Amino acid sequence: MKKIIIADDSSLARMFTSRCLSAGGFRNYEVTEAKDGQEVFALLMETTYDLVISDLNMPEMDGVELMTRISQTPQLQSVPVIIITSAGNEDQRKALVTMGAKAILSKPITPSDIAKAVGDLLDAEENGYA
Amino acid sequence: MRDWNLDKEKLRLAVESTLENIAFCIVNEVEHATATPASEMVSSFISCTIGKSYKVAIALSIHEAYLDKIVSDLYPDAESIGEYLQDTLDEFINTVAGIFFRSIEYEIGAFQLSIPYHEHSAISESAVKYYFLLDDTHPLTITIS
Repeated sequence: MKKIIIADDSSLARMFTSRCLSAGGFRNYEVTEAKDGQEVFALLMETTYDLVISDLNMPEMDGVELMTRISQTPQLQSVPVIIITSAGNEDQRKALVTMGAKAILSKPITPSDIAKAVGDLLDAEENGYA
Repeated sequence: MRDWNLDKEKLRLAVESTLENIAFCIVNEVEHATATPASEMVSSFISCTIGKSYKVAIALSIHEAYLDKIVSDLYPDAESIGEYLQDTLDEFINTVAGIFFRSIEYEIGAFQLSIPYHEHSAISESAVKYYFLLDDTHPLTITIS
């Protein structure tokens, strides 16, 4: 079973993203929730995860810092990260992609948004071009 | 300084999109505020920094009874919804602000949203206010200043 981290300081956002994942057809996943980037990083250092879906604007450690930490940690560099953000202007989005974000989705997301982003990622992984 | 009265339609779309997609609530814009005591409204605030220094504050206020209803519907299995009330309102304003400022990004340029907060000085008289109704009686207000 694939393991996914959903990170957002908002309980509603975490629940909503999880619900969209399920409605988007991704039901055989074990979802772990995290409130900020620090929690995500700690989880990643303990256990192997297949995907991180993270908000950008979080207290303690935001999405940018999380991506920086992941990219600087050799054993985590292959973990794909999808960013979900309420804002994220164009420059920020480009910076996130440069840092390695696989997709950037705008809130409010829909099941089809998440299905496409996660589906594209899984297809790429399975076919060797992630 | 931007005339926020010109952005009424875009803000309305942001509010509608957020409430409908996340909470399955239909909102209707109305011309005037309802006669609802301020004590019955709960609020969340977010600020947006445009460019390097120009700051705008948006406040989202909802009738507390309707927020209770929204949150009860979102968390049907929760024994107590108290911990989810402010969080839900915070996520609403976060999403509304994101949709709204993204829709005018081509005019205002780069922007940065704060994390939602709850303490704010009194809304100035010059603030632009928009009024909505959730069902026939419960108000929702957006203020930009």
